[in-house]
Order: sequence, then structure tokens, then C-alpha cells
Amino acid sequence: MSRSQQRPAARFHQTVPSGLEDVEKVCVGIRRFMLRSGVADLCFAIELLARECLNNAVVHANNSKADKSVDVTVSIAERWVRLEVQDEGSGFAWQKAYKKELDTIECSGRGLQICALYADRVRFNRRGNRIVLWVKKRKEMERKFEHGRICIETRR
Amino acid sequence: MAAFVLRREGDQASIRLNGDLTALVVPDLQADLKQMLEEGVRKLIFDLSDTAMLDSSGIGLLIASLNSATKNGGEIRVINAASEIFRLLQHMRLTTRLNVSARSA
Repeated sequence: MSRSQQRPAARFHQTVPSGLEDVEKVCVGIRRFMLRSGVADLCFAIELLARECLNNAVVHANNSKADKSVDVTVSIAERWVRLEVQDEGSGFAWQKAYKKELDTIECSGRGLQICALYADRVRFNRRGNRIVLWVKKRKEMERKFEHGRICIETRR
Repeated sequence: MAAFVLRREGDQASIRLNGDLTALVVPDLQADLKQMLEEGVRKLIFDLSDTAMLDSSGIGLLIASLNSATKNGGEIRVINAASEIFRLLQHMRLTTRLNVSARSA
């Protein structure tokens, strides 16, 4: 990744209390930030990724405890959008969860599947309480989700 | 405004979302749907005309509704899905199972 790619043109940062209503508010903020920053085509993807990471952080990691919070940052650079979410939990075994294949009748566990589907790159810290996702900007794109791995086709 | 409006006619119920189907809305809607299914509703129609976002909790609610309805010989339909939501469900290989139709342009 070149230096020009690493430098964000616009940045959104917020510390979110551990409540679903707070997640809702910050997601509306992210939606507005994306639209204001001229990346409307990635608005759905970034908001969805943020929701999945924030819901997971608030409900599972911070156990909805009022004294715990979650940090969320969205950075927009020339060629990508970067989302970072960090909670105060003890982390989780993301390697195991990330590889899990879901049956279509299972009611839960789709958050990480969505991350794998919509992000071009996903990185966790060793502890498992911080996730960073990158989504590349494209003129037109089509994604396919097959057998638990990301497959991207770009039309020129 | 309420997050959703439920209308029941015989053994059929329609659920019109007044916004997004996300983790914040799911618990209340799930409780109402559970009650309706226990009272004999067999067919559920989710109208997503005013819904711009569906997260994994919302998807979980749709699948749970499908599982409960089919157990009693019923079915569900998801209508007027926005293109992004339709594509998400397509990627999840759920459009056929959930009987999803896209919003007309």
C-alpha cells in the first residue's frame, strides 16, 4: 500500500456507549459522513460492516455494560475506505469463527460472514478486540460469496 | 412512529417496516411475531418498501420466522427489497428460501 493510499482524505471518529440505540445513532452518522464525502456507492457496505462490528462489540464483547464503550473510525482515502472498531472486551477466537460455514437455516452467526463478503481485507489484533476492514473503491463491482471465501470480479 | 406495523387477516399477517430491519428493532418484532405464530398465523409477508438497511440480526429474524412458519406448514415472503438488500440476501443464498422479491425501479 503506497503512502498516498494510506493518507485519509476524510475521517469519522466516535466513542460509542455500549447500547444498541447508541449504535443506531452512530450508524446514521456514518451514513451521513459517507454521503457527504462523496462515496455514496460504498455507503451500504460500510454502514453494514460498521453495524455488524459495533453490534458484536456492544452485545458480545462489552456485554451491553454502561461503563464500557466502543471506538469506531472510518477513514476515506483515494482508493479505499478503512473501518476500525475496538471494544473493551477480552476478545474472541476470531480464527475459529471466521472459518465457520453456515447453513442457510441458522438464525445467527452471520456477522463475520458479512465482513468476509463486503470487505476486501479484514484484520484482527491478536487479542481479538479490534477489527480493521478495508473496502476498495471501484467504478463498478460485483462480489460473489462462494464456499466461505471472497471472490471479486471487477467490470471495466 | 412505530418501527413496524402488523396487519393480520385470518392466518396471514403482513409486517410493514417503517425503517431499517436491524438489531435495535428485532427483539420487539420477534416477540410480536412469536405471539402471532402461536395464535395460528401461517403466512408472513415482510414489506421492506421503506427499509434501506438489513443487518445480520434482521436476517436472523427472517430465518427464524421462516423456520417457525414452515414447522406449521406455513410460509413467508419478503417483498419490495431494495437492490442492495436483495443483493445481500442473494450472496447469502437466501432469496429462494425466503421468497424475496426486489422493489421495482
